[in-house]
Amino acid sequence: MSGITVREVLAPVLQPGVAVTIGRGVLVILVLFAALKVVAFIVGRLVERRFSRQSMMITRKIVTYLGSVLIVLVVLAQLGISLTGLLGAFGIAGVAIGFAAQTSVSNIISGVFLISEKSFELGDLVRVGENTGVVLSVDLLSIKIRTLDNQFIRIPNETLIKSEVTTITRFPIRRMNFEFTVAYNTNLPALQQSLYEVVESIPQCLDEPRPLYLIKQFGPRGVDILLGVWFAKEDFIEVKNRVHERLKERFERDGIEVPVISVLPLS
Amino acid sequence: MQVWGAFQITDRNTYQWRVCRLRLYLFRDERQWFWASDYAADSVGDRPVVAEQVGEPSEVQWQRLITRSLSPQVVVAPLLPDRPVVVVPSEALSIAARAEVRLFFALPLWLQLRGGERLSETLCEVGVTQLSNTWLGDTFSGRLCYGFRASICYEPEEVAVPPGYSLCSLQIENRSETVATLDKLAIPCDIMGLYRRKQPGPSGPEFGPESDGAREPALSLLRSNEIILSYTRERELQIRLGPENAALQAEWERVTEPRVRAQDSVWHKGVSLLKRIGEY
Repeated sequence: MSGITVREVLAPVLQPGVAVTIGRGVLVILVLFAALKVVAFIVGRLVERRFSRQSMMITRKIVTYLGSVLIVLVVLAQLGISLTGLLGAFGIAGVAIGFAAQTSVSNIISGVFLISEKSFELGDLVRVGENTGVVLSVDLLSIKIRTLDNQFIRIPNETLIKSEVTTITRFPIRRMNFEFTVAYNTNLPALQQSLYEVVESIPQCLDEPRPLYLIKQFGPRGVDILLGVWFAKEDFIEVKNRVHERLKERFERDGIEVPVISVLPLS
Repeated sequence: MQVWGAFQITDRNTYQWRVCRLRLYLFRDERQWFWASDYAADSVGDRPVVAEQVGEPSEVQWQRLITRSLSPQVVVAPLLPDRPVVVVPSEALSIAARAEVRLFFALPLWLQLRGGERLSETLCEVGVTQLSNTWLGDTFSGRLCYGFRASICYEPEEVAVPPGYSLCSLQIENRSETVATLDKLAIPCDIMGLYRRKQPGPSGPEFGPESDGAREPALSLLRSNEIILSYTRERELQIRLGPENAALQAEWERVTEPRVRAQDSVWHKGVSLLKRIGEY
């Protein structure tokens, strides 16, 4: 059989000089990438100590990307490959790659806008469409969130730029609204006092801003009341449970008839 | 009875402290320390209960800490609250234009229990009363603080300072041309220290094994740094700590360091400025 043998294919590489050069190149790549990882880690830690986790992540990515480009250039120079010729070839290939990678490029540009806009940070609770979760990472192509029931969701940056994003934990304090209807024979000033006492009895509820008491309207089943309670964003579950518990106890104790009680979406 | 000091905790016995509304329980099993706390409806006032042996309490949630070394001793030291306190006076204060006034009130403290190796391991920190949470600032930014209603007095002697509280003095300077009305006062407790009156003889260190609470009643009055509030114009208030001047140092010695050191280095200021500019 007159086929090409493996030895013939690898002949140029197996020449003593070329093998040494390639070996040296691989070694340089390994060492430099390891060093880059260390540098990115140290720089990230320094930035995190003084700034936020978000800044740390961005800095670490910038260092990694710039460093990677630099390493590639250094290794190419080591291997004796001319950068001028390579850049020319990239120019021609770039057009073809550009057409093929339109979505990726769009995501990258969207990613840059997202990072510069700082609509949310690592650890923020965000709602995008029907998904609500904690931001795990903001990358060039996508963001990753962990939903409250512990699912991992990747959302392309382009989608984020085009959709409405709610950052639920943007501000340090939040207000939870409790809406209920009381019977028409309820003493409303006494009810207001009772509600304030309920809020005061829960340490996680804030004194300031003051709780909101609002008589919304005279409805078909009674008087519609809204109670808005302010709390530090970390105390969401505790406040929700405690307020419900204490409201029920208090209504039972004071003999207040409540046909309907519900929690409104957070304002 | 003195709340602060060192106490012997025998193995497998439950001890109780009652200071103000706090009920604190401590149990030791060799190197394991179990502690629990809750708040009574009423304060014990001037009659605190200190290291009293009791039966096992019901309906408390125990927490367990294992120290590095075996030591039967525990130190109870006073600490200021771990967050700033917004003091709401019983009546709003109005200070005349260009006037200055020094006011006094009692501030509730935290009990810090230390044990283990060289009595340096913190077993627990718990407030003598349950303070409410409040927000200082607008809804976009600000700081989570404790809220506390106090009766503000003109003379220090008028202030009732029960065990578990410290005397806090407040100097208010109205530098504006209008009457300043203050309905709440922010006290930066986390950067303040605590002082006690100097005792004759060699000055003691922080509360350590040599200060026996049961035998040292002179620690009863504690005071904190003086706070200076300068009112320059409406909604503009500067808060700073009073200096540790010679008069203070002559009579008082610091027994508790601030929880947080105020940062005033050029590097720190530079980084803070950069953060504000870049909103990082």
